[in-house]
Amino acid sequence: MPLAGVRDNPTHLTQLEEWLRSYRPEELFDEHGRPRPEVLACVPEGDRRLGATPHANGGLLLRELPMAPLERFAVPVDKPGATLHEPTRVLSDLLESVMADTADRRDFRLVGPDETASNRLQAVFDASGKAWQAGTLESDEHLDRHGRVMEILSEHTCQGWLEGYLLTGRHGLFSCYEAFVHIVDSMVNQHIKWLRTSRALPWRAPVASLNYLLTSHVWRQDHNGFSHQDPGFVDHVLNKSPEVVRVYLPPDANTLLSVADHALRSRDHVNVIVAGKQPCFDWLSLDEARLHCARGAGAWEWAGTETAGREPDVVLACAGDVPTQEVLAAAGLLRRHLPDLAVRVVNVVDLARLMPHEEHPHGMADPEYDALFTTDKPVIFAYHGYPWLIHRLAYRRTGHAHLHVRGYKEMGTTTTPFDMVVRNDLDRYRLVMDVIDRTPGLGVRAVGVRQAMADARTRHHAWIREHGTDMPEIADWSWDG
Amino acid sequence: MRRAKRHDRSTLTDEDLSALDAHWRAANYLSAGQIYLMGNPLLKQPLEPAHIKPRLLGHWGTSPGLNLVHTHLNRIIRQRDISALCVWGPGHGGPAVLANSWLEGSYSETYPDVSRDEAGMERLFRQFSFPGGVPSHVAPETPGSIHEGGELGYALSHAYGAALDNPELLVTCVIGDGEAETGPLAASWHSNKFLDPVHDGAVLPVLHLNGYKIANPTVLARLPETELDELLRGYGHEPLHVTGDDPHQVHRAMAAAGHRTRQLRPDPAGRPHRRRGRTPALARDRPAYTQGLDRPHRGRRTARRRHLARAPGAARRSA
Ligand SMILES: Cc1ncc(C[n+]2csc(CCOP(=O)(O)OP(=O)(O)O)c2C)c(N)n1
Ligand SMILES: [Mg+2]
Repeated sequence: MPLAGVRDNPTHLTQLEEWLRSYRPEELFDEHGRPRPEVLACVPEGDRRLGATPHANGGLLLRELPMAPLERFAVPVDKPGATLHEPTRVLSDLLESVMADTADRRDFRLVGPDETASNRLQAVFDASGKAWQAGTLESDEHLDRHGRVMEILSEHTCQGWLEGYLLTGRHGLFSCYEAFVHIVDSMVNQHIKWLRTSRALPWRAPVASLNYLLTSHVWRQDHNGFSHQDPGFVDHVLNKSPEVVRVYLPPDANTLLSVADHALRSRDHVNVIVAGKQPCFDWLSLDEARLHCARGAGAWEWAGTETAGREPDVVLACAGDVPTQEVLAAAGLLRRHLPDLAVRVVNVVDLARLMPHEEHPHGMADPEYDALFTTDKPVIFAYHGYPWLIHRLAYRRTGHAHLHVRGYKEMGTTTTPFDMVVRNDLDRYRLVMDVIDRTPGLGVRAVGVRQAMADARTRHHAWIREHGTDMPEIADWSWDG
Repeated sequence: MRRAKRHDRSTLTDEDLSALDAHWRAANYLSAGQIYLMGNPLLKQPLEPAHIKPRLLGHWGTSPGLNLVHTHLNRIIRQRDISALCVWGPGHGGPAVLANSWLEGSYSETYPDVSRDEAGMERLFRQFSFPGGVPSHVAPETPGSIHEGGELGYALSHAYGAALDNPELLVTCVIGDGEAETGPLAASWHSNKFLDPVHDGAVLPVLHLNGYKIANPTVLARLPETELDELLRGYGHEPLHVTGDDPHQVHRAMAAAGHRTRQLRPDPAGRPHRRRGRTPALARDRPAYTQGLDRPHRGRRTARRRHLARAPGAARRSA
């Protein structure tokens, strides 16, 4: 700012006036203040003007994405937990179809630092290769001068490309390692601010949402170790404008399909989808998945032991694919060892459902929350990320004092997959112990069960150090509900 | 400097020159007006303290450069009859982008209460960085913008994102020399290795080399020119320099540099001829530098005052 204190400083006031008059405003504007023709001689007409180009109001140019029916990609599920699929691989068939169906219109791009294939999304390469104009070698795979998959090892550049692409009226998805998406924490802040402000401007047409697929997540970075383990992006994003941010933790392949379909059709949101790429049990059929995702959170009656019309003794809740598996394994152990205990299993796909209704458009109203989680029964919540987040989201709920959350607490390292959950007290044995410890009157009765759970953890500890792999009862576990 | 005998488009007629300078001065006047004035927008009366905003907010320094780019882009768009989008990296130059939108009429079309007349000009001035008004930066509220430029670093990747799958679009991207020091911006120079000459538009980076950030010189401005050129060539660009203090000479240099970017004309009919990307070093996009025009607003007080006497953007005009 060249001149300060102009109001109080007569010298500066004079200097400002001289400066402004040196532009000779009377030559530039007529007596009504309209720019004179000479001033506008270089100005383009209509939509060619930089302030009027529809490309800068991309929603005006936006077309619906061609979304094939999900039946084409869904995995068949006759009974829960009988089969395994890699969720992101199933998703990649959907993405391949979107990619193929936009081959002529070219308004869909997939960006990511270097991980499309490693995230098991390689089916998209059947529809489009990877954009590349630099040199090539015979041995290169999937590089394509006209490709619409874009990989550069700069999360910043991926994010910037996608933002520019979306804001000019196109669609896309950013697939990223969960831990390293933090690199764009600050960029996503800015994009969320942009969307929040735009939504309030009637002349700005809605644009396609910015969709993140976060995979290679914390629980399955056992091989890469501590540096690759961080589920905190969700915490970061959920601080931001509630009308913009959405976080989904689909527990299996069909729920991932349903969530991704919803995200790709949505407008003006930032959707964070956390999903696994490792083989994962299929819990829900496509129809069940659709209903469950529409609810955002719901009781899985088939997994619990409560009887209709009676209150449960305890609620086992889960969000995320690995916590869901641990909760189901814990529910199986409880069913076997404490068959009289009425256990309700709740799965949460849409994290914002936990927030107060007044604070987030997806937040559950209190009666609904109270009915699902009870107001006075212990809730053992196995969460994918940092446990404090669940407390933050649910702190106003009546039953909050009975909420006990397990999650990632920075006990990471290079180890076996099951050891990751054990180290962080998210494993099935620990969850059963939590149920015993927190259900009034159960402790004394279940002392033997509790001991067996503690022993299993001890055996696990010794086994992995000797064999380098998880115990057979863990590695070969399946749902036998 | 003048080569009157050859009437190619790189040389400006006196009429062109006068019109470009008028547009630039008008944009500069409106930019300064937004920062300082809340009344008397046309200076019909002598300036009084009551006409001055109580809080002076906004960055003047980058505005004349943005206005220069906008003025010349206007000319290029008209001349080549192309669609263009501009990403203004130094988003703190909000007054400049608003000034240009108001001048071209798009502002009043978007916000009819800010009409293109004296009353609207007063509103334009008053609302800037004023409670209940518009933000100091280029923002979603700014017509023609997809980029806020509040948090610096993302201008060039946004520009490339806009150009993807828009073969008929020219995306100009003004990059502050401060912004150019950020990690994200530095990485995004490589975007040209991904730009498909058939399906994507063109990106014209304009490095706004005004020499300073807020409290420091910029790295790129203090490199010997050859070293800077080597850096940009390494990124696959052929650098063009526009330097100077005299507005007419700068307009001529801008027009000449603009002319040398004409290969960037997005031309669907000519798609097969655009051979960008055969080699890792691309030689199509051409950054132009604007330098020197608004430099004195940084640095020591004496420099600032000296500059004021020359009124940025209207200095030593002779026509
Ligand atoms: C990431 C980031 N860091 C710091 C700032 C604070 N800041 C605002 S303007 C500015 C200087 C920018 O210099 P430059 O890009 O050269 O712009 P110009 O000189 O054209 O004003 C800085 C550091 C910012 N806006 N963003
Ligand atoms: Mg600068």
